[in-house]
Amino acid sequence: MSSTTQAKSASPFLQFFKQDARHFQIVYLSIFLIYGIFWLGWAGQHFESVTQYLLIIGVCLIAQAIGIHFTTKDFRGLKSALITALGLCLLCKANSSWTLVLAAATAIGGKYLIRYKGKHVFNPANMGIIMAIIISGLVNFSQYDRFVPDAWVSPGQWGSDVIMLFVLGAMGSIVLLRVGRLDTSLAFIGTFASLVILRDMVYLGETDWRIPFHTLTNGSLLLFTFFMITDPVTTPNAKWARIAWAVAIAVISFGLTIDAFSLDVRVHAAPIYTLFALAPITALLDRYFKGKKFSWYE
Amino acid sequence: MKQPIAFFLSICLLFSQTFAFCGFYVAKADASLFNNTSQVILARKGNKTTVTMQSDYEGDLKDFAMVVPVPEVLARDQIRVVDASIFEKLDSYSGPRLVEYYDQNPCGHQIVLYNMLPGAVNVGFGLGNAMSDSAFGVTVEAEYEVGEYDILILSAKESDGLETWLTRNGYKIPAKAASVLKPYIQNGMKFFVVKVNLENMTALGQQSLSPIQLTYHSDKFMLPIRLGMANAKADQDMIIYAFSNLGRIEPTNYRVVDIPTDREIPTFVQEEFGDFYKSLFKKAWACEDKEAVFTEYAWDLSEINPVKCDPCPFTPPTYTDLEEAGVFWIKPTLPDGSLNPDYNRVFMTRMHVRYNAERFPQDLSFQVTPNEKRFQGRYIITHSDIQSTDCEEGRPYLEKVVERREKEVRELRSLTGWTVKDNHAYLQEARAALSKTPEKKADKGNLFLLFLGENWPWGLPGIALMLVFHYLWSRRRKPYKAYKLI
Repeated sequence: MSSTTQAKSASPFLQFFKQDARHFQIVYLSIFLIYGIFWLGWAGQHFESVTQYLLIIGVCLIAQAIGIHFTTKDFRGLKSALITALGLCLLCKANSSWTLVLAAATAIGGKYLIRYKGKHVFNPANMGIIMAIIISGLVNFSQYDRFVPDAWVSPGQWGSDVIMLFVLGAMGSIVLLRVGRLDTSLAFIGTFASLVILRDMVYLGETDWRIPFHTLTNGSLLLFTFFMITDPVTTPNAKWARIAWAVAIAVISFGLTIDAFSLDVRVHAAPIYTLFALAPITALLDRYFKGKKFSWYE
Repeated sequence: MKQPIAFFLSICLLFSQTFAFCGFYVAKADASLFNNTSQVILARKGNKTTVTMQSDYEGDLKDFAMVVPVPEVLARDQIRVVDASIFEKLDSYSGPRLVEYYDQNPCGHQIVLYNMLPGAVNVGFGLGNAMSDSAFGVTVEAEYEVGEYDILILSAKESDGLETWLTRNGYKIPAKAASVLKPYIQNGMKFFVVKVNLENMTALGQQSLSPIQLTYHSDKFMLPIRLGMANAKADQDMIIYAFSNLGRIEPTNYRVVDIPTDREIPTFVQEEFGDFYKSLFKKAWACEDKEAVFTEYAWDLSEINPVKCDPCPFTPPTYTDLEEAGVFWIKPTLPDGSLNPDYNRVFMTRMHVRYNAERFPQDLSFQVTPNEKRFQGRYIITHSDIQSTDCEEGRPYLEKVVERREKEVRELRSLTGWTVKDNHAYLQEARAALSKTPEKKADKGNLFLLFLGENWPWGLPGIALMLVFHYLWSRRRKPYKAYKLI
């Protein structure tokens, strides 16, 4: 990149903004959140949830600041915490604010505590959601004598719209081209879409293309595809390992949602659970398939 | 003659030669109804689901028939008929409500009235028909007589076979139905086929058809709406009363939105509340791109919770009512005699969905969430007392009334899109009362009041602050540049 010529043409702010792909990610995720709050009515009619969103953001930033203080002392890492926080705001819901604090704290805590070869193992926002569900479920166990989680994911909260496919896809691609992880997204959504279309149009014999499309243009699925699974730090370093890993997540997620097999548990928001379950495999793949370790500052 | 309306789960086919009844509107004298509305009660715990479907079919009973896809071959004890009044109870209790308040008289009469209007919108509902050997790949898995119904449970190998079987047995199938049947067959679903046994009906002394309640185990938690849309052109409405032992039930493949609530509207809406809510729903539905499911009510109904609504339009359903509605987990003790941990866990969600094949291509799929946030669709009218306002407090009160009514009229317009002729009279009444009341003399000649309005004393600290700032500014060592220029 010829930085000297660019320095003259672009403003210093734009110059700074372009340096880090995370800036784009923060802006896009904030747009989604604002869209959700004001257009899709997530916050309800009295804006109670807005304080919850601020709480998640606050806890994530504080937890990250503490982490940075005891490790690298490089406070640029707070950007990652903000991305995690926005991801949690977009996906995780809970009755109690304590559950959200728990989600935010475990999301960031997991980054510092569960590491392998200098990389954290679990996708932070993903880890936060799953931990909030598991821990709140266990805490409630004493009260209800069974697993009653306090947190949940609403896969229908975005609705389904073809426009979403383009907007989320385009915004996601801008970020992913910069960090070089578009392959992961495309492998995941390509596999998932093929399976859904095969099931609906071939196996079930549907005649209307809107039926698979309705599943594939679901906002939560697209958000997961372009903004969660692609976290460059928690994906395998080698390109082909990454693609195989994304395909595996797609296949297992599809298996969990499918009607055709008679599974005891039908898992909504299946990709989120699958990503959590397959995260440790990243470490294994990195061991056998060598690739360049990702860094935000290059 | 009242006509039957399309029912969500059914294929609207007819048993004999009369034409399809789908798409008619039933208007009762006292309430306005949503066109093509069906009602269904869902109760879900673990992977066990109870579905109750109401039918107020009023055509010739020998023509009545209905086909419902079900996930398994149901045994006799998984099917029963229940009392139709349960739907009325749930509807009245959880429907959108109009609340009425009375202002205190500003000049002394201390009458505080608080009233609750039976504001629930009654919902009409309809029923389509359907009904109809192994030569076509169709197997009659079971055959029952339940209440006034003859019930068959069919399994099929292919949709063409099922279609032919139904046609041969006297059912008329809409053209699009076969393509809709295929995915259900491929998914291993069975078909629950109902028609009325006229002899049993007479023997039981039944005047109208009873709701049918089905219980089954399946990890699928869904409502098949596609069959009902197979030959329906118009939009259809469905009210879903959903019960869980955790929290709200929400759709997983469609967006769910709370209906606008807690809005203050003009008093004249009272007479036409049904129409008001109809317009409000239509506008909210259009605003959400015609593809959202609306929550109209969400509340904890367990016995441990004393407040069942705020305020209640009708008596909240009792545990006996809930058991009738299919809520199967609220026995005080378990079969082994131990205390039932779920005894005090019943959460009700009322959803209203208006659907058509264009915007709702897939069947409704649900999940039980831990979401315990309460919600009710509630609209407020406030009666003002503008008759005897000749005291000192009269004028400020009337000013507030005028302001409030203007706000209410704006609210009404934004909620329903109505531009009503009543608006003018409603505003004029308050304005006329205001103009008749003399202004307070003491207000005249107060310069502060002129510039700062009623709250003028609050302006004084501001003025003091400006003076202090001016003083500090003038004592600066460096003179202001403008002076130098001169």
